[in-house]
Amino acid sequence: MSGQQAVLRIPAGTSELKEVSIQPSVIVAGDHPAGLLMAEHLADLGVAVTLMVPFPTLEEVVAPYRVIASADESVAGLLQEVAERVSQHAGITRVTQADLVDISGWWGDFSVQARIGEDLKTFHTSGIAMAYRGNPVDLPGIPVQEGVLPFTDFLSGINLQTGALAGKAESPKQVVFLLDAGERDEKWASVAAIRVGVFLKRKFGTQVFILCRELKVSVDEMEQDYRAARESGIIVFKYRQTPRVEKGSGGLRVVFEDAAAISSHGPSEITLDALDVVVAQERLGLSEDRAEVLRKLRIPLEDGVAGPNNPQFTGRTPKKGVVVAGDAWFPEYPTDAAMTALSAAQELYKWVGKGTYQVDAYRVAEVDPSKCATCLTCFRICPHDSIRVERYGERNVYITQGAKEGATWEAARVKIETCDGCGLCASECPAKAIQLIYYPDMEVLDFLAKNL
Amino acid sequence: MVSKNPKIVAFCCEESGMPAYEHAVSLGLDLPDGLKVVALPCGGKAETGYLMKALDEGADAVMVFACYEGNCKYVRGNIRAEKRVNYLRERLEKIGLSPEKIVFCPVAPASGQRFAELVQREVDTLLGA
Repeated sequence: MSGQQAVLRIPAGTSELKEVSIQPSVIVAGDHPAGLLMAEHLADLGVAVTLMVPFPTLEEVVAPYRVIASADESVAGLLQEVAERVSQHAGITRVTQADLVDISGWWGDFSVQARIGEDLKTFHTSGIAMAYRGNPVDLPGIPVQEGVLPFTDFLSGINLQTGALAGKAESPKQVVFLLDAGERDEKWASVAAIRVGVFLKRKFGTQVFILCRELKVSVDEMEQDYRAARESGIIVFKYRQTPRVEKGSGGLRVVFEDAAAISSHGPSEITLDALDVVVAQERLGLSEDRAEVLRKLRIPLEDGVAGPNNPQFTGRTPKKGVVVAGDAWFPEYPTDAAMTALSAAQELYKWVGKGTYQVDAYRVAEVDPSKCATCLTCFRICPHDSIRVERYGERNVYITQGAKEGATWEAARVKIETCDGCGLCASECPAKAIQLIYYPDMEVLDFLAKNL
Repeated sequence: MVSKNPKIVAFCCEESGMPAYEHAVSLGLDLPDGLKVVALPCGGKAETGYLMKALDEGADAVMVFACYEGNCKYVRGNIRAEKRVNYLRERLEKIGLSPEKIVFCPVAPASGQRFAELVQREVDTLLGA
């Protein structure tokens, strides 16, 4: 019979609400335009925003996206004036040539160390938004040689008036966009290759080839743009194995097997010769020092970015009060990155925007300090980084509590504001020193004893 | 010796296992009377103590229903639960009991059908053994 089973439910009710006051202040840091969008959105909502960019001017944040913006109106609409608007916004404090070095603390009370020029300076803030641009991690399967460029370098290096790349006088005659060699499912390069390809072809007469495994067109108006690309003479190939890139006559040569060819018609190898530039889609990841900042906040990274860990929460991290957008979240096309940035900003506004916040002091874990051996198991396990051993004695010196003045190891303590009450720490604590206040072990054990 | 109506304790994650159980009930699917359901805030809260206590109290089998990998609200709670279950299965085998007494079952919140199937499969395994 169904519905007749004994069920133990998690006790609801009796929530103990605690009022916490949160200053509505946010630090937005990063070199991705998503940061500008987040700063503007939060400042419009009345949050005191401090914007930190690692460049002397805000213009440089959007500069590498100029080519995409001239090829795509929707990106132009997003990026054209945002730097200007943000640089004049009254609600934003702008700090230029600044980069985050270290972050500590919790939601509502972060202590942020930033390098400004040569100096280190400490800021206090309630929430943090990070929007970093990705650095090329590698060009998978493609040997680095002259004429092979990572996609982002190609986009930022191109001259809008002459179409020439940095260090060259003329625009390239033949360009190959080589996509998908990295096997990570990123669609930004497909979209950018088609739109920028049409732009280059129409403006400078460049012959563009696109080599890919799958052309990803699941973006607004992409069907029309794909058709425009075919009509303007851009040639798209699907390859089987990663193409060979080698020195050829009068430029680079790319050799690959055409996946669309019928095998009974003989060998399907295609050679593209006399190419000026091969633009290869790189894998984008955070630079080591920025990844280190995220790691210190115990935000898990996968493949150098924060996104894939919890794809259902756009821009959100397990650390309360910290959001991530731009390539640091996941490498995205600028319009998609803007959507991520706005939802991340909304998420942050939810946490810091109201001034006061009600915290449930009942649905949390609690440590019994007399049992705690400060083994740091809970600290390693907590997904929200909300349990810490607050004061350390000398390393590897274990002193029982109260044994010696000044050298005691204190017990672990739960930060009630950020605890979500998942019970992971309680289930792993070897000393059984942690209990969920709302759902102690005894309830489960009693239920088992009574019903079995 | 397992009786005809085995006692099974299902530890259910509040985010996936519990909705799946409730879905199974609302669909009117056949669930054994010996099933006891314990809701937990996360699959990762199913600590070794709970699982062994359930066996100690006389349960024939313990099942942990948690989220699929990559879906955990608390990032890695389900992976912890699975590791713990695998560890306990090893231990059970070493002391001469069937490792099938503890199983880890990832379910989606709206998969009452799968919940019922998994419980039924466990009953069949127990009775067949």
